[in-house]
Formats: sequence, structure tokens, C-alpha cells
Amino acid sequence: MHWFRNRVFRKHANDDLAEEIEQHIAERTGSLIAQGRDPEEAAREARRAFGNRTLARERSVEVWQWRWLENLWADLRFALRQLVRTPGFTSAALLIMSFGIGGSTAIFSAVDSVLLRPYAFHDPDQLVVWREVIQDANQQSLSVPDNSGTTPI
Amino acid sequence: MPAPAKRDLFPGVLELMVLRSLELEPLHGYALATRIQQRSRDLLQVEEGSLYPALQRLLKTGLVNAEWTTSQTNRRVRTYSLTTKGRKHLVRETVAFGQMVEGIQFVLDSE
Repeated sequence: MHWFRNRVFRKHANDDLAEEIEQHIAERTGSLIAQGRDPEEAAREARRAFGNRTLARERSVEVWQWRWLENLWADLRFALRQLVRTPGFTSAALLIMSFGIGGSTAIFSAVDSVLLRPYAFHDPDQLVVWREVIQDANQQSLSVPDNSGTTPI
Repeated sequence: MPAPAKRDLFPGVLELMVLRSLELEPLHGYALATRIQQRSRDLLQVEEGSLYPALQRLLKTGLVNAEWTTSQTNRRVRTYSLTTKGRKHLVRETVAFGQMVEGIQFVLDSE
């Protein structure tokens, strides 16, 4: 996302700068013509005075992108230095993260193969669940009734 | 036009001169370049290839604002104006720069 926004921004900034620079040269050409110079010569002179347009534009756009990259790089280095400075914390964090990631991966692999993916054999729709239903059985209790032989007094 | 030896300005000085020029009125790139050259009595010639990167740096740090407007010559131009932050920066940096120049002058003049 960041990358994408950066690209869009860069394109926009580049177009703006290109237009700005062209206007700059047009303005100088106009003022040279106003001083009585030949139009063609004025245009050439204005372009010469400006110098390398592409370079100017690139260096202008770079102002924005470099800072961003440098910030990221500085943040990364800072994070790394902090981690090296506190080995106890680093190893604890690493351990917890590896357990966490490992656990999640294991659970996801199971869920993936059991629930998400189709079964890995032919005609899975012919798979049946076989179970026995005992009619009239005592549904309340799982133990065998104990009052068969004796009668209570 | 005299041809002074081409040498780089101190870092940040072009930005400072841009801010100073914008303090009086908003200007677009070409007007800025000519303004600085005139004000320096033609001793300085703004290298336009470095003017635009400098303007972008000022935009990025929020010292100036940019806006597309129409110039006196009826062209669509990007006009820069000073922000409050830029105004403060200009005051502070002008003092600091003055001290630096003074210090350099002392060293160069010392016997």
C-alpha cells in the first residue's frame, strides 16, 4: 500500500515538476523576446540557462522518496541495536513468537486439510457415517438400571 | 555578465535566500530565480537545477506552501508562499548564518 501510494505520488509530483520547469523556461523565453531577442534564439538561451531538466526533476522528486527510505532504514537499524542490547528480551520474544507461529501453523494445517480442502480420496460424497441407534433405550442414564432383581421394602 | 568562478553555496543558504524572497510576496520558480539574482546585484546566479530540489525540500519540511496559480504573463505556474513555520525558521537561521559569516570573516581577516 505504501509502495503503491509512493508510486502514484511520484508520478503526480513528476508531472507537476515537469510542467513547472517547462513554464519556467517559457517565462524566460518570453522575457528574452520582450528584450528584443529572436524567438528561436531566446528559446535556446532559456533552455541553456536552465541546464539539465531531467536531472533537476529527478533530484526534486528524490527529495521526497529518499527521506522515506532513510527513515525506514534508520528505524530498522535502531530496532536491531535495541534487540542486540537486550539479549534476554530478544530470546524470550523470539521463543514466544516461534511457539506462537508454530502453533498457529500446525492448527491451520490441520484445519486446512480436514475442513477446507476436499478429501484426498475418490468420491468423497459417498463417504458415510455409520452409527447405531438403540430404540427405547433409557436416554437419561448411561448406566445399566440396577433394580432388576430386588424390590425395595 | 561577469563570469564568477562557479562554486557551491554553503548548505542551506539557497533555502534561506528563497525564504527571504518569499517573505515579501509569494513567487513562482522563475520569479524567484530572477529575484535572487537581482537582489544579489548579479553577484549570484541561481542555478535552476538546484532551485527546484531546494523548493521541494522546503515544501517537505513545511516551510513553504505551493499552489497552482496564474502568473502576470498568464501562465499556469506553481506559486510558493511562506508558512508560519517558515517565517520562524527564517528569523532563526538568518541570525545563525550572520554569526557564521562573521566568524569566517574574523578568521580570514586575522593577522
